[in-house]
Amino acid sequence: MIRLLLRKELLFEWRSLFQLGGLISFLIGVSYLVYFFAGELSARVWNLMYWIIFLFLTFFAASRSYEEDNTRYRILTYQLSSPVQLFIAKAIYLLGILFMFGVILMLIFNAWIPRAHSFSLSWFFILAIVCLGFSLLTAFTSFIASHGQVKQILMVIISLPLCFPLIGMAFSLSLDVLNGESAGSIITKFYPLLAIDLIALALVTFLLPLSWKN
Amino acid sequence: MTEKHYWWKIVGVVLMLIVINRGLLTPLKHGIMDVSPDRIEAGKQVVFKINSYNANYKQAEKEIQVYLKHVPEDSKNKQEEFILKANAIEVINENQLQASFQLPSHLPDSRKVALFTLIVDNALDGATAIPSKIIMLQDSVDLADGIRQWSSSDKPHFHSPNKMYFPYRNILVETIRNTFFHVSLWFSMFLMFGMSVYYSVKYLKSNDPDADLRSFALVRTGLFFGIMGCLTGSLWARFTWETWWTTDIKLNMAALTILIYMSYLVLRAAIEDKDRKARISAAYNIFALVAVIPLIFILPRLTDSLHPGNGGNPAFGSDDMDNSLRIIFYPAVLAFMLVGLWMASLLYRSDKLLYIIEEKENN
Amino acid sequence: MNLIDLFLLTHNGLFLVVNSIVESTDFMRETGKIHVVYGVITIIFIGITLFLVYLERKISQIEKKINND
Repeated sequence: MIRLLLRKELLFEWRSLFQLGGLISFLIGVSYLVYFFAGELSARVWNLMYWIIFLFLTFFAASRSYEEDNTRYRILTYQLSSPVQLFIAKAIYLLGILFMFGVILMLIFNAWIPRAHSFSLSWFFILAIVCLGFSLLTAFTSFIASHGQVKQILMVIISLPLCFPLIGMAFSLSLDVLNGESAGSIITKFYPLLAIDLIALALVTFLLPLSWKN
Repeated sequence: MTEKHYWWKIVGVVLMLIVINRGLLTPLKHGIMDVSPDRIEAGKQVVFKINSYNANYKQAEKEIQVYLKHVPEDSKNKQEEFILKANAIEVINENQLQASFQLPSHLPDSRKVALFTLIVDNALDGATAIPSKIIMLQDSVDLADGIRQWSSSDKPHFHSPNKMYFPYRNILVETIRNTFFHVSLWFSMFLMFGMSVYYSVKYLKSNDPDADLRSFALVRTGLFFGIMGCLTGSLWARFTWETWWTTDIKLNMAALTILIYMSYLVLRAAIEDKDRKARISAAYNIFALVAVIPLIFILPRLTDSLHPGNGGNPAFGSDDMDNSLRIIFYPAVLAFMLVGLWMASLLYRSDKLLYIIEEKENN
Repeated sequence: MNLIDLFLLTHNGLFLVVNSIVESTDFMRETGKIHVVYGVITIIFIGITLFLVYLERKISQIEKKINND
């Protein structure tokens, strides 16, 4: 079922491919802006720039999650599958998209404002964990925001504070990576990050069936 | 414990009165504000000018004793300490006195520099100390001679006051009383948010609109306490840390908690349908609190904090909370919690009335 | 005076900073900063007053609805 739903997500994306193109052009535009105006960046600022752009990207990408389903279509989907299955499909799809964009952003950053140690395995590991957490969090908040009136703004307002612990920890971890610390020395710092992901996963699976009803 | 019962509200108010009374009227123990000179050399005669707070030196003139104390850091025996008694004391006024010492030629320490604690003791106010304030230098190291010279003085007897006093802390001074009025606000806030999550879970299980109204009322009261906590903390910080706001981890957490619940209010306002509003906001409430918990219990352990119990321990350590403070602090927490519950119950009851009236109108 | 030596002795950079803050004597800082405590209690009182105002408006709303019926 989840595979079917994933295929549905992909099909929808294929039909409106311009949205992905728009996101990529946003990435390129903002990175160029940083490259053009910021000049020589310290590790801290470089890191901050990367995560801030990534955060906004996440909001843009995730707020579309529950957007394209109109009400009739939604009722149909909910009859065929459970809300949890639908949510998991959306979260997995979002995870893929976010990771892809994270890597693309990294490539663009490295092309224009290169930084030592940034293109390393531990960085991609951090990115993967953060993407997992973000995909769960923002898929959930976009589900919540889809019930409200001004969906996009509501989405940003409610996800920003929730994303803070995750982005904060990701920031300090990746700063360590940028400063050239080996993966072995920062391995203990990964656990809180993973714990937040797990908490988010557990909560979402608990809350979704309860909060979904029509 | 229902809204219509009075006894717990009375308990809350009586406790609050006791806390305000005792918290404001209990005097501070006398403490040393500053000492000059604070850099001295071994083997010389030195006269300390001691400036104290809340002392009664004129009244207790006969019985004042001043000591210099040193506990070597590298000593194997932790109990080992060296004490030197002042040989002459002159009281200037209630809060000022001069004490002269004849310093031995060597320090009881294997380094050239050692830190000393100055202790002032009198029968009326008890003993007070300014820890590790005095820096003493010596030209040459002679550990054996230093230990011999410093050990010769007789063991001092420190008085303890028979009244209740709050501890004196430099920089904090009287603002130590804010512990009761600022910290209790945060404890109360967490109780409100915790209980609101309980009612949110109850709502999701039972779909009872009553539980949703309770949860909403508790969230608003909790937010009220949070904002009060931020404002009072900000004022306190202005005159102790010399800034309105710092990037201290606890302040960030507090700001974030408030942000989260602000967006909870926005979310409630943005959803039209009542049933859906209740369900979605309950889900968000549970999610928000469980997302806040890692903030409170993981993040502060990773970074240093200006707050007491920094670096590893978010609670109060024994150093920060004196028994005299504790005996008022716990009632203060209980008082703020009960008053908070009262406020929440008032909000809930008025919301419930509105809800019933609207139900009647619709039928 | 060897500063590094002193630093080793204290093991705590904050200690030095805290001790070097000069006590100034404006209104809030005089008499042991007791005015800060007054300030905190005043803020709490103002907060409770605002809560009462909020409650008052809520009750007026209820009264209005009842009188309309």
